[in-house]
Amino acid sequence: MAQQQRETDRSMVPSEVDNFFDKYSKGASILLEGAQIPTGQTPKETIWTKNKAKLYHYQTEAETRHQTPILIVYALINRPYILDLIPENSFVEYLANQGFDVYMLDWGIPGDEDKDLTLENYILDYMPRVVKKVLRYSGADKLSLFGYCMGGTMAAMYASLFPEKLENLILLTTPIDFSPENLGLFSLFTDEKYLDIDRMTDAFGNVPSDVVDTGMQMLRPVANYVGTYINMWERIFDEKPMETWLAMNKWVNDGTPFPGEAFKQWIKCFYRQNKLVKGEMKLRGRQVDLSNITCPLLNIAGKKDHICFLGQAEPTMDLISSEDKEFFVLDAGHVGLLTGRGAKQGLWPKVTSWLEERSEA
Amino acid sequence: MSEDSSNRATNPMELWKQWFETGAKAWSDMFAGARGSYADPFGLYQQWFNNLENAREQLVESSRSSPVASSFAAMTSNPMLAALNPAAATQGTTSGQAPANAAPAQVHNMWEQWFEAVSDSCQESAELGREGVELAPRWVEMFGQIWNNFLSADGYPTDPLQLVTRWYNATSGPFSEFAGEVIEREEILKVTSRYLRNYSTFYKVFRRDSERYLKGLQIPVRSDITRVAGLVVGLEDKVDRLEEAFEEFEYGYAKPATAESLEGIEERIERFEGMLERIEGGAADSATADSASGLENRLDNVEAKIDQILAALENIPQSGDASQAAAPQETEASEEEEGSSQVEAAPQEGETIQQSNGSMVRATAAARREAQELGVDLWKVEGTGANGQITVDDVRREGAS
Repeated sequence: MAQQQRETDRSMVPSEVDNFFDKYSKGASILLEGAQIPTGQTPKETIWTKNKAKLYHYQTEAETRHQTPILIVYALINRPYILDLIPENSFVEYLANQGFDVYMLDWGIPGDEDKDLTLENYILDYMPRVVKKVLRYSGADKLSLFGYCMGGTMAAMYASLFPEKLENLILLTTPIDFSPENLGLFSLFTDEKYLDIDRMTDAFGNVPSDVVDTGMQMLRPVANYVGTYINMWERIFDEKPMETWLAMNKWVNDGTPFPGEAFKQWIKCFYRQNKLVKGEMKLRGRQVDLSNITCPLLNIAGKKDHICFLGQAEPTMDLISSEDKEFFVLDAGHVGLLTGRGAKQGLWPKVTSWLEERSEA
Repeated sequence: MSEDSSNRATNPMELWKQWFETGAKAWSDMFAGARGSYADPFGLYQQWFNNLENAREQLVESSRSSPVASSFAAMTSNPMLAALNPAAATQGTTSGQAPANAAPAQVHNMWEQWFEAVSDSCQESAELGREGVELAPRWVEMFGQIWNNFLSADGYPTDPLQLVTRWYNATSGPFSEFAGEVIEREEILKVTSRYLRNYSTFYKVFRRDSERYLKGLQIPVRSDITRVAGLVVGLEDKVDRLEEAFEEFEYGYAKPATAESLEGIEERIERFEGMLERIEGGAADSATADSASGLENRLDNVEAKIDQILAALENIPQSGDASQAAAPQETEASEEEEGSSQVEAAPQEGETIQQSNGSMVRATAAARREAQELGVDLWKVEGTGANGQITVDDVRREGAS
């Protein structure tokens, strides 16, 4: 009886079945092959490379109205195209279209030979070189430095050592204070008792992306491992646009290894010893003192951020010496505040309006 | 299959894979014309859901009868336990096995298997299994929440997607909390970290041994390539420093001299280019001659017009007592002619000139100037202007003939 009923249904609605099959196979292929979509599409020119690192200069059709260049410094985790996700949903594209001269430092994907790279290499060797390049290329005397996540921590350290180069500093979801009460699950994940970092880097050289990713995803296991895909099926069957989902999924699964030595420093000096806040952080003997920062600062954090908690970002305000400083909190997560509809109304216009007032025309 | 089904169902990816495999088979069978009873995913879903209901009822019954289950008494009111484990439930009912006693035990099994997968000794996993059981009240509470969430929506979901979405919405909150609590537990962290440590050690030993083995075979290994890559990076670093030094030189100390001299040279080149252009212009004779003659013609035309206007102006004072000054200077040799008093007739009046022989010739001032230039004798020119006045054109015609 039920069999007959199904037979009838099938003959009556072949197109619907066909449609269902299309959607179903679409979802299945994403699950099996991974999300595939072109990302990082804003026209750019690579103006400098060193080892795996690259410096991009973005060039859209928009006219440059602000002479002070913006240099975006990305983290050593995952790939920087999250800032230039897809056309129409790209922070970089937005900045360029608003008349800013945009540069981005991509650390690249480290190889086995890069396992000994340290924060000193990145902050004292790479970054000053990159800043010089940008200043020469743009013809400006100073620039606006924009750091995202760990890239922000590095940018802040650079800014304390070379404050004369900066017109403005923007820190986006940037952890500075690593007091245990601010760390959530990270305080456990990175605890000496549970993470034998020396053994791990000794064995792997670089820390495999899976380890870093799993650590991140386990902060929200259900949402990350299940929720994402529920969302995908819903989008497919409701025929909602898939581009952003695909791009985000591609990005989330596109991890990079973390250079071993730098990872050791990151865990030990920051997560375990909280050296930056205590004023104990030294790079090649040079004291990193955040109070050297005097340029205008825009410090942005997400209320729902579970990777850089509010408590990690807010203390920055008291550690720097800038008079012109603002702590701006968005009701979004670590990545959510940077992409999507919310970002277009929240973060993006905030950054451009703040910068417009503080950039040379 | 039944013994690992509990383990499979706890892994979301496995669930999806199962769903995909069954679905793919159903569709391929359908398109191949087969008439399997599972051809329709909606039907499949209904069947699955019915099985869940059965399993739930059986669970409830079993809790009343089974002494094992009694320790999990609270759990019986949480039928979503079965939902978490649909494969097992389906398996149990369709194969006719009563899952009654097995179901609560499965919870325990599930924990055991999960820990077995991540821990390095059976003993430890057994201990942790017990830990898992200790978590049971929390586990039960979680499912209570889930079930309430799930049923709070109206009616049963009508298609698999809706079910999944609703299941997720019902589950994610409580389960996240639960997972968070579990992850934070000392036992779990310890096991996980030990797993990571052991894996690291294993990886290191494996890498060392395999490299040693391959080296014995004279095959380059990963560390060799890394070494070469390291050399390349070092070399590149030197090149970059050189480039930086050059840039310092270029933009630094040497800048004023270089920029200045360059500008000087540029200027000189520009001047030189200008000269060349002028020379070129001279050489391009034909073009210049053409444009010059064009200009000349136009000038002539303009002159002719001015001529007419002048003639008109010169005639105006004759009719009134306007001063001589109003007349152009060229009229110095002109002689007033008693003539028409009509202004409109003025252009017809021309200037006259008295030659040495006393007779008079009427010509415009411009015509006279032109005649002087061309060496034309005005007496020989036939005037075509008003009243036989000689115009510039007349002079030119004469000059040309």
